[in-house]
Amino acid sequence: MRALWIIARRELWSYLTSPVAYVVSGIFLAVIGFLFYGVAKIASERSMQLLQYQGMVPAFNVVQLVFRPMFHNMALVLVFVVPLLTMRLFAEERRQRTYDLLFSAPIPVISIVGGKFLAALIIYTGLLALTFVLPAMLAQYATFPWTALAAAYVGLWLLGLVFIGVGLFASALTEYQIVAGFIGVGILLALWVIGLITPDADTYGNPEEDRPGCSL
Amino acid sequence: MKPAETDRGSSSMIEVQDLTKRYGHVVANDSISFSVRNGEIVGLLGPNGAGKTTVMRILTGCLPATSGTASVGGYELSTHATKAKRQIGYLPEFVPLYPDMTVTEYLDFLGALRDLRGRTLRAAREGVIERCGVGEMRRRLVKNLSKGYQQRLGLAQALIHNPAVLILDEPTGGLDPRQTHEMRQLISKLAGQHTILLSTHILPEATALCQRVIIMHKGRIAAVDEQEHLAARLRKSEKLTLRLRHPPPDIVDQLKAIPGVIGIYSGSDWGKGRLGGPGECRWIVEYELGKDLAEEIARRAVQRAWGLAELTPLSLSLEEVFLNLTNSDTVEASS
Repeated sequence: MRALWIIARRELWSYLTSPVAYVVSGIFLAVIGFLFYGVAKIASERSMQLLQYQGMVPAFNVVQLVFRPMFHNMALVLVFVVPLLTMRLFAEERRQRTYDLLFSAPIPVISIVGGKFLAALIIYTGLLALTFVLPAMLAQYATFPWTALAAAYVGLWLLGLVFIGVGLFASALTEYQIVAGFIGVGILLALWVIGLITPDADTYGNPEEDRPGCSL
Repeated sequence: MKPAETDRGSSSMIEVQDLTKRYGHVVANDSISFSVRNGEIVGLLGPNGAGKTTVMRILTGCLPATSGTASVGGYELSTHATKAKRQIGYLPEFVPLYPDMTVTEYLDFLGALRDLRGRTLRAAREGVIERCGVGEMRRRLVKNLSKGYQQRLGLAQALIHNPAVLILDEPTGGLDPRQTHEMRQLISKLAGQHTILLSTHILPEATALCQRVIIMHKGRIAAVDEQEHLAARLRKSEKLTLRLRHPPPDIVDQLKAIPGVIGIYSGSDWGKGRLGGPGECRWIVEYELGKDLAEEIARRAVQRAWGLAELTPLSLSLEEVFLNLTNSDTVEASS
């Protein structure tokens, strides 16, 4: 366990001192910001229309109108972002030939893999936490059930575990970061598409649907 | 952890038995067996592609063997990998460095991976910084170090946990002559404190550093012996250098008349087989194995007033042994 934490700490250090994580996070947050602005605008226009036609204050369902599309699209953006965060983890180790150091050290392989996974997970969790500023802003103007929001975050976080796992696997396949990134995005996108091409899969998902078990 | 504690009463620190490694159809190591005694410095010598690095990577647990066993400090790598790895310090051929770390961060990280912590870790880190002479570079980023310092840092990380066994893969590879010299000095200082297995394709290095040499060729062991024995075993004839101040014109014939002499070569290019002329004053006399002709030649030189200036037996250099072994079918015969 100690070895796992030592590896994780080194990887975290590496994330925080290299520009990749900052650039990727910056772009991710910008895209999510635009996305949020878009869905919030559509939602407010819709509620204005309802107000005009019905002449009453509608039951403005923030969860349905804002959070569902937002989280759904966020998951799709993460399909591209997470492999960019994980592509370095093993590929760079191979390119620098430092994996010999790790493998000749008296530590089990699980702590090498686990340490890298943990580091990526911590960065991912931080990234997700930063997006919380958007619903927090919305809370100034609308009321919505926080439990639904929390559930959405838990779901996205769990989805992130899968993404990191796939990204880590892709990174272990090659010594080129870019190739690892593309493989990771490719696998995740393929799994995503499985969900889309299933006949009765609607955009926002339906738990009763009979989707293949491997779709995202 | 003191090296002595890990000895577990056996005198051989590295034990390799019938080790075979195949990459698909390519056989990198073919049924290799050797052992390294406690405290010994052994050189693994061979041309590039002989399988040296593969043996080392198996010994350090970076690669699994296809068949056969390898153990370090009494622990077999296939079953007790962690315990075996605790005894090993490994400097791979391409020094594995994290370019984004400083020297101290790098050493702290690797020390921590080898179970060192807190004060012990700091003491060990300072110890290797001192021993490997990287003190003035401690705050530099690893990527900004010169090749020589990077190599030293590689050695420092191999030493940080004071391992019983050091495995050094071409420790002087890519260094300039001065750095090479410094690195060799560093390694010879480690002799006695650690059991060292080092690989090289540079013969003088093996001569300078190792007590015993294992010559590898095409994945097999071509010869294992102490250097002198190895040379003696492969020698088919003996040679000596002879330098004369007043050689008579027919010196070559006179020398050839001595029973046992096989050939006389002029000093500078005897290897090409050219006969020495009367104008030259240095010869190499090749004579039959087991006959000591030095005395006879000296006697004649004095009697006939040739002006004897030098008479030195020539031992076969490791280079010649190496070429003999790796060039031809002598491989089978000598192994």
